[in-house]
Amino acid sequence: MTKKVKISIWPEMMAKLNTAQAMLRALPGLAICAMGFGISFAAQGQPAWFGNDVGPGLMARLLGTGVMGLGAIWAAWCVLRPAARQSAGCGDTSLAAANWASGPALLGAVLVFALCLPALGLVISAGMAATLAAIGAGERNPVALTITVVGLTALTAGIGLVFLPPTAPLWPAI
Amino acid sequence: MDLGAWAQGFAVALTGQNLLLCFTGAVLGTLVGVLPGIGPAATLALLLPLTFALDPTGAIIMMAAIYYGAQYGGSTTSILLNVPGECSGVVTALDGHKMALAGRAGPAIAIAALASLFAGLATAVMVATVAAPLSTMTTAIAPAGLVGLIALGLFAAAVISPGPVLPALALILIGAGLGLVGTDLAGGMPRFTFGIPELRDGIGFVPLVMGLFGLAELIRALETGGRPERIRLVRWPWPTRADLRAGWVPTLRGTAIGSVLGVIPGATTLLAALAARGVENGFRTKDQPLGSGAVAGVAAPEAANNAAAQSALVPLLTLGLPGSPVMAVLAGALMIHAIVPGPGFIAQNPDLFTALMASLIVGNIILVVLNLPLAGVWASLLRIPFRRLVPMIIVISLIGVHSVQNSLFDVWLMLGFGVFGWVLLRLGLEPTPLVLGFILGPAFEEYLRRTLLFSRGDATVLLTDPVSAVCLSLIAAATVWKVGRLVGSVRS
Repeated sequence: MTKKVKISIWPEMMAKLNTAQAMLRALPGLAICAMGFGISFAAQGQPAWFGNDVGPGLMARLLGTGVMGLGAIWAAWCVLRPAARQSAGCGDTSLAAANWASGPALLGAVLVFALCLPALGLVISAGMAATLAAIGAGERNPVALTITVVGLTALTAGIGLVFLPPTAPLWPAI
Repeated sequence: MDLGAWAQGFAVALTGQNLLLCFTGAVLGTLVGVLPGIGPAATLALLLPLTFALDPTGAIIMMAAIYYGAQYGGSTTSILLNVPGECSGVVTALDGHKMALAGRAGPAIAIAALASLFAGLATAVMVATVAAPLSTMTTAIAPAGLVGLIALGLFAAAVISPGPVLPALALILIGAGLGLVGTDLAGGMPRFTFGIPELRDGIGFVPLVMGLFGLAELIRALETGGRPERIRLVRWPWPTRADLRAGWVPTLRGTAIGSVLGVIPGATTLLAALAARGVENGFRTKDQPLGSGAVAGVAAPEAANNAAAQSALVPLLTLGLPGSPVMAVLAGALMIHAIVPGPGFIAQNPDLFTALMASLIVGNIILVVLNLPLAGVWASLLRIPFRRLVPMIIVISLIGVHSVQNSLFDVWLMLGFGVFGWVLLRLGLEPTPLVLGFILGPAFEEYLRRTLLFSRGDATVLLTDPVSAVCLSLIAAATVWKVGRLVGSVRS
């Protein structure tokens, strides 16, 4: 009895799994397709022609249509050809190796810098970004981390004082 | 270029400031070539803000030196450690590292440096000879022809570059779309600015390349990189007469292949090195079979990659077509200095062109002096852990991006492009097509507008203009061939 149930459910589950995998493979192409739609939509506010002359919207409309078309073809290609999953561009995640947290940490360093700069100034923000970047790069030695951060903060202050214009926001805005 | 022009070029290239900039570029290029993780494109992107303070000649001399310096530096670590710092070094490593394992690291490095030197000098003369007449010819091309040429250049870059073609083409179009952001120069209307005042001047080139190349390349290096623990000792590197005899003909062949392939947009130095090695496979090597430590396996790819690196200047300077990420950044650097590479560039900037050509000769000689006796020193730099370099690169690039216009918006843009570049890398896609589209998109639109203005809106002029017709036919033929291959592979 149990065996019968397994046999009847298995192909259905596999079909669902295959559909889900196919959708996943199509995601990058669909994302590009959406970008093309966005470009086309934004271009609608611009005239394509002024009489016989080209308007500012023509190129944007052509680009939007092209991006949408290419994205759709790519998505279809990734869905219809499962072998392509192994190839670049179709949801290939082989890049993810040992240091998977590096990406978010380095991007986080830039984010922290951008968020802190208006209030804390260039020097302190650079120090905070350096801390996060060093951790993201795999620095686990606290002494080395401290030396790196202090050194780079001092370097930023030096660059700011010597090379940047006086209007550069070096220090916290009080 | 006649002798007088060469003399004038050397007079500019050998001034104290330009010599120092060329030397600095050569050292930096060797450094990034030696250290895996941050390639020449990313380095140029990171150094862009620094070049604002320089005159255009000094800036382009330093940036070009970084580029071909990286080709030299990449060979040292490929040979000694089987760790290519620059992508084309992968091919050199196949035989070079075998030579090092056999105790012949010194001769391998010397052969690589001499082959690169010969290729560098020969290609500099070739570029100087070919570029000026070619540039004169391109000024006679009608706007419709330029539309076709730009389209062909972008298409070739997408088809030849590594990775799938469809997303590369889509990225080119997205890049061109990003290039449209800002005030429309013809009508003065803002386009895609969404009410953000900072976007009225368009998206800055520096945050774009810093995010896509600088930040994303660092992340890629951290995610995939590994470093060797042991560095081999290098004795005085000098090849024997037999080595020189075995290497000179492959060097000639490699130089010829590299200088031809480098001219094609999208054909990278790696492709040139691979092609040179492929050709060497068809010949009988004089010392031992290819793949077992043959001198030809070092000389040919090294000559080819250096020749390709320099001949890539031809399409950039004559047609304004940057065929590689480095050329795209160089084009951006010139544009920042209000110099537009393309038809008329050489005629309008003869001093800059002759100085650049002379600096190619000077830079190649500096690089041999730097790389031959100091090969061991460069290799020992690999002992510096990459994790110590990353925070420094991040902080310097953040200061650089912010200081260009004292704009926080540029930092946010860099973050946005960094995220986008990271996503592309996770999908196994290269960001290069996007940058090429960003640079060439506005030029394409400008020429398209002129074409349609002259033809009163009749687009068939693109099919009747001979240059444009040839370019569009080539694109159509390549598309049919590519689709045919894809259909064939699906059926099989």
